[in-house]
Amino acid sequence: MYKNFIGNIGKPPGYALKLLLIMKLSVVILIITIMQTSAAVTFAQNINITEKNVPLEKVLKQIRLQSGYDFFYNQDLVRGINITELNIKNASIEQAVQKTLSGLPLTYSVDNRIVVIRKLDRSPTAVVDSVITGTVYDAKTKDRLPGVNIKVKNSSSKTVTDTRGNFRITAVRGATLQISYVGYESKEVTVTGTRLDIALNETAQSLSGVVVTGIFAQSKSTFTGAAKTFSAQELSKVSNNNVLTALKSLDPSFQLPENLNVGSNPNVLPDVVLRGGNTLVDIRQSAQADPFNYQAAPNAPLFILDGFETSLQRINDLDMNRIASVTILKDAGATAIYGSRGANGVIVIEQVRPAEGKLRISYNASLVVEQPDISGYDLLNAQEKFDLEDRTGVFKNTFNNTQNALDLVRESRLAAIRKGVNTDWIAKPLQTGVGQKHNIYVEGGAEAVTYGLNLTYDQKSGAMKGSDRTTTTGNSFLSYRIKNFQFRNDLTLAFNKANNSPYGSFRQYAQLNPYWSPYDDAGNLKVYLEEVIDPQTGLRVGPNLTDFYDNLNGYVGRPVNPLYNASLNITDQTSYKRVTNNFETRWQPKDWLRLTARLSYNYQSDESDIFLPAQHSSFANVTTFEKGSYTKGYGKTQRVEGFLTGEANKSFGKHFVSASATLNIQENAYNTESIRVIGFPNPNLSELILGNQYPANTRPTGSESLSRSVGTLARLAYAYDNRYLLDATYRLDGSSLFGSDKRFAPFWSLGAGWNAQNEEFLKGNTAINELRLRYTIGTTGSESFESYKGITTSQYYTDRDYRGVIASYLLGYGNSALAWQKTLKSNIGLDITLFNRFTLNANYFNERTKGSIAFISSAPSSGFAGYYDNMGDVVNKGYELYGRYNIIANPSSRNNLSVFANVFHVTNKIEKISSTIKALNDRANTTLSSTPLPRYAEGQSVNVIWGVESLGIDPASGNELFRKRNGTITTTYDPADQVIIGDATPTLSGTFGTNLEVKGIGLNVYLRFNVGGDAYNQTLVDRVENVNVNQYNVDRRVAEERWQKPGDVALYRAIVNFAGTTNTNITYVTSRFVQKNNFITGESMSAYYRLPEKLNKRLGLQNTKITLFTSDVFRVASIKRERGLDYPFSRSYTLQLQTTF
Amino acid sequence: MKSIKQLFPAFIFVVLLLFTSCKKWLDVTPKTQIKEDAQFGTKQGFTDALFGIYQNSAKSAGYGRNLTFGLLDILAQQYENKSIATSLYAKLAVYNYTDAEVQAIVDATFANSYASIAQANYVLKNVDNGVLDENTKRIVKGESLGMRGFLHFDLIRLFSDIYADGTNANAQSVAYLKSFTVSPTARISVGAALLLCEADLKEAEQLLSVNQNIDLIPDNQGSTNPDLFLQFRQNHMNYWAVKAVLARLYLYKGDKVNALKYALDVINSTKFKFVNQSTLNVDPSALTADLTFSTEHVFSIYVSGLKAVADDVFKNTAATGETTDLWTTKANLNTIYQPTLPNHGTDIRSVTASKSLWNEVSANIVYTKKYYSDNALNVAQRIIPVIKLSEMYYIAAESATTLTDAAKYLNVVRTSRLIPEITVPASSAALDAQILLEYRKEFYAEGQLWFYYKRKNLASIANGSGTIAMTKAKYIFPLPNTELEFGSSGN
Repeated sequence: MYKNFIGNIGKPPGYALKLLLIMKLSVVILIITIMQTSAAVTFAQNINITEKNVPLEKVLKQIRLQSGYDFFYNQDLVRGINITELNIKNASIEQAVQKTLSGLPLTYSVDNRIVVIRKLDRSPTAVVDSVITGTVYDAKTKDRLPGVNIKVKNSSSKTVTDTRGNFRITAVRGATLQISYVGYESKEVTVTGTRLDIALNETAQSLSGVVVTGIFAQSKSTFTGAAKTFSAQELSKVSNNNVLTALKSLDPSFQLPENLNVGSNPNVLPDVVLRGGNTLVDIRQSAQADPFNYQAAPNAPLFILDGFETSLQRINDLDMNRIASVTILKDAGATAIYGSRGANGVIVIEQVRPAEGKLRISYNASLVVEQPDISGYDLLNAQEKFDLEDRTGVFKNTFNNTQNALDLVRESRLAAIRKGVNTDWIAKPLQTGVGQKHNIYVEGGAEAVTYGLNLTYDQKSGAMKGSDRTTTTGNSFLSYRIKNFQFRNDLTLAFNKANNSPYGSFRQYAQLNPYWSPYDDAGNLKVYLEEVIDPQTGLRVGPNLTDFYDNLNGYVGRPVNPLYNASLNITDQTSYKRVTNNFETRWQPKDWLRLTARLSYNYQSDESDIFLPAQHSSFANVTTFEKGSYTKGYGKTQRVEGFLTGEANKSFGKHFVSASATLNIQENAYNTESIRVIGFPNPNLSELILGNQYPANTRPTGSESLSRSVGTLARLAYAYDNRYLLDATYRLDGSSLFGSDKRFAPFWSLGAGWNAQNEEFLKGNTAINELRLRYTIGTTGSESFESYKGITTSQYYTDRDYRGVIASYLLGYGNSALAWQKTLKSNIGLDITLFNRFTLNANYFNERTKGSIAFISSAPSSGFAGYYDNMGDVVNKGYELYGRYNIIANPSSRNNLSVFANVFHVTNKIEKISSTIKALNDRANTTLSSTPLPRYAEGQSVNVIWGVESLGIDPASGNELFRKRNGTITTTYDPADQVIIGDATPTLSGTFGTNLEVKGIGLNVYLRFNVGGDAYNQTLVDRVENVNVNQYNVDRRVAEERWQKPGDVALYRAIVNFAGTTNTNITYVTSRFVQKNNFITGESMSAYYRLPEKLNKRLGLQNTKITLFTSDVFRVASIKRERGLDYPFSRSYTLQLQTTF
Repeated sequence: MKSIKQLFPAFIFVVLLLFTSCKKWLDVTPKTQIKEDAQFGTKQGFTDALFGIYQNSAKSAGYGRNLTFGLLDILAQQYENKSIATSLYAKLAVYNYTDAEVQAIVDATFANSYASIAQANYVLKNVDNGVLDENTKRIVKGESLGMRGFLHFDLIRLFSDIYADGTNANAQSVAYLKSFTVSPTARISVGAALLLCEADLKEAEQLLSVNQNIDLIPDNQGSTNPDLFLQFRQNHMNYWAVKAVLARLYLYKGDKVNALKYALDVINSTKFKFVNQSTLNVDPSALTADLTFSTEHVFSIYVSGLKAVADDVFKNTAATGETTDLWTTKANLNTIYQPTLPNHGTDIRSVTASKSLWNEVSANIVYTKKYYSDNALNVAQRIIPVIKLSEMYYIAAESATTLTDAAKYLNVVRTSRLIPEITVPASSAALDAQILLEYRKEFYAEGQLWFYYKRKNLASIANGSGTIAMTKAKYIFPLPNTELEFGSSGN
């Protein structure tokens, strides 16, 4: 019998790695793997064998080892054959095999890294039908190809590969299989054994290529734009929870800027920027009444899901198991087809379509554990905090009465410490969140009809108690084909419910003093944390020191136990229901012509509920019947989008022409409403209608928006001999967002490419498999701003009349000249593949945005505070590099080992700023702030940090010394002395790691690094310098590293200065707190195990896989600061089980 | 192939259809907002927008508080709220214009007036669009122009140096907004700005001459006429109000001939009547209460929510009221109304009057009841006088060619207020002294006293029972910083 020897031959490296795997996976393995990589490079193509009198099998093993090629032969053929003498030096694989087999009755063929050895004699073997199994994969990417048609020549037997690219067909040995797949060159393969691995090459002249742009698809080899596609397999190596975090690890130009405040809160949408973002964000616009995130952030890329624009929230809640591929479109060549919406880049996500065949059920389950990461916190314990208070004179006062009271407070705190009270407050609201996700997918169908049903239940549990997010999604897909018509309908229903933690902001726990206990002697939750009784009067000491404690919930007074508040019946939740229906019909009258019409309808209704009962401490100062509040919000958003696309592709000899035209229309509407009711005296009365009244002089609030757009697109691509590529796009977009004078705007792009590997001089070359140069230039726009800015509108007064008439008033000045913000993008790209092992994709880009839409202040004598206009030009320049080296790549056994590094760098510069921004800058010159204020200066990056240059702490006095703008040194802080003290732009950031699979056991490591760039360490300012030791707990560095006595060389100012008086002045922004922001994090690591086929079969399953994902397991950073201020960050661990039956 | 040929024209047709209609389709109409063409597409829309000028002016930042009883009368030292130095009232009373809180108040007043002007310009931009009939158009246009002139005139008086008979004509004043625009309009000189005011008011006078009716507030109380456009003329910039503003303007410019002419026009129209003490009702809860003497209002602003403001400012008895309330001591009121002089105790404006306009909480806290609004049906208690008939007599007295005439005009008011007539003053200085006394009595909590002080450029003004020294810097409001930054100085 024939036998596949790949496993045996690959023993040595496999065994070594397996051993290591058994020895537990750790970071160590990564280092070893990387070392192996460098070793592996040397044994690539130069085969050296010197042997005498050895079995042929042994020689073949050596060649296999040295070349990395797989061998395929009948064991009987080679058994007993001995090689008397062999001397191979620096030979290629072909030369080596040829030399080895010369003189023997054997022949060979090399088919894409597989050497098949056959008998020289071609006499037909016995004609016996047997079941042939095999795998079809992409010759270059090694991705397995689902849905490939396989037919036995001159026979009716045919089949299609499954989602994993596997097939099973009945054929006689020697028969010919015809393999065809859209976008790939058809191939005929002779059946030589019971197992076949077939590599397909992409065609240039295909309708459906690899770059999915959401509007049409184009073959990668003729695409000049900068696009990056990730398959479901690649995504699944990184994360199973969230496609956004997966993309972050895969492409460093796709960024989720870290938000130190919201941490890992599952209910806060991340910010997303691609290549740094192009819009100069108007600082004024931050306070927007959009509680349900209906308005996209100004720098957010456009998300296209199955061809239609969708919201960031939907992508955030998307079930990753449903994703077939994600394509990130970056440059003008790729994004110009989205014209007015493409300036910030486009993320195109395609979901899986059901495959034909028998009914199949896939099941996917995950268990997610979220562990809080509070490593940035370093707080004082009870004794240390008390000592610090004592030392800094908290308990000293010159007034007798106060001194007596303070003595009592001191005594009471000391007593508590002696009793052993040392509350770890920040641990109180935290939990190890355990979430789960289940997904069932049913698919099947025959040629004309295919169907898919999907049900996902996704429950995320955050690191703070009571914080969770549950999304349930149901989807049905139906496809019907009749002649050259195809109809598809995709209906999705989604239900989401998100609870915010009743424990409130995490911030309040970090400031509570550890000598306070949350429980009284009886073990009940205290309401007030400190109760010092004066034994003489029998009354509470007060108003004492801590009666000015800010509870961060609106109540400043006595410190309240937040655990008590959390124990009340608090509700803080949002929920939504969504219906999405996408309908598509295709007509393909000719091979080369296709017409597609699509219609999408999306409706979402949101609700939010915030209920605080009367007992909540924020109502301490409110009268009885106004205590307790319920805030209810409603939102509705609706999006309708239609498309009509015609595509034609045709070859004329060496000429290939592809043309397409599209017409699309879109309407987007939303409205929100919010009401607040007060007076819920009993915590159980938690229904809105049980409230007593509306707060005086309030009314419902809300917002409403309607925007419409139309667009036409024409695109022409031309390739000559698959060597020279040209494409051009023209788009005309109209939008209701803009002033009546500027409603329509044209966008265009031009691209050119050169496939050097197809040139004569490189053809047949084994070293360079791909060498492509690309260049594109073009314009795109952005329309992420509120509607109605371009028109003058009035509104009616609803709360007053003028002698019986309800008058109207102007809402603002509508700038009819408000025009499109345009970004001119150019991109030079290079794609190289060497030895089919090493790939490098590189892009250098320059993006110049003109006319960011900003609020421009006008003279008040105009009657308006300002208006919207195009102002503020930004230039982004940068490069991105993606390198991957495949050390082992064996598609049939799936054994592979590769290492990769992705690097990204972008700098930006403001070329022109608006008057509003100038005014804000001027204000920053007079505003004393302990947080760096955003300022935009022409010629500078938007990321620079402004502050006064500090010369450090004067060892003699403990005061800070500053350098004034004129160079003199002073101890007085003047905001006018602010200069640029840092730049947050990193020199280099990116990810690197490895992917490995051996015998079904896999390991993926994605590490993120950031080198260069500064950060303003706010922790040092807020928690070390500007601390109020009297009231709040502080960072350890307050006790240990602040200046204490003359001569101390300290980093931080004195609390009590040389004169013995307490420093009350505040530290404002100074260069002292600018630190280098270098870090490396273990962003994602995963290990998985694929059940062997045998075991699968025994269990009645297919494709079973168990994966363990981890995220953010470690972090090494040059800055020590508190991260996750309102909500802590977390490390997550996910155990996932996938199977099909 | 055939099918494609058939389809292609259809496709082209669809594309053409879409494009012809898409411009219209892109013209979205906000649900909660009214676009310009919709607003000015009907007469009602014009009415609503025109009333928007008054409504905006009636806000607290405008004539609903700051430009009447609030800011201006604090500056004129009418109240006793100066003991807590850090309170806003105390800071205002010492003219601390650089204080951020004070600056915010002054800036808001500036912005409010210009917002009303922008609303007027919005109406004027559309008034000739053919929607209105000729008569209605004249009234809408006349009122808008009248308000534009009136608002600019007050801005000039507040934010620039006095005209001083032309001595300061070239002093920098404010911008005169004649069009609906956001691009900065250059600030011009006092002289030039006054000429533009005069032109707007003259045009308004001419346009509004088609409707010279006045329906007095006590008579139109409870009117249910659905067409409110031509009603309640006293609360509009009516024909006579425009004349009254012109009288003010000419007096301000020192053009006494015209000032007298316009003041007499209003006086002789007999549209406005002095109140009769015997029928006057000063009980704020009564339907007929009329503590601001509404029959005398040539132009008054209607403030829908006046009750809330008045209750907040003029009605508290709490001890901490000083930072929120505005009151005067009885002693200081007596220095204004001089009830101890023979036959002066009967002054209907005095605390000693039998029908008192005052709420004496204690000897130290006396609130005016002018704006008490305790009967929801009583419109007369929801208005703030801006121009009163008495001022026309004062202007006439100041512009009169002889002192005899002057005394005659003053005495008309004095008689109606139930105090003895004055004899013919010996000198114009003596006349001025009398007029000053009258202004102090007549315009308590109405703001006009401040304008008088400033126009007369008094070096010291009454501050309770004492006086306070005045300077040019105290008299001139500083322009908002944003105006200096984004406006145009005209250079």
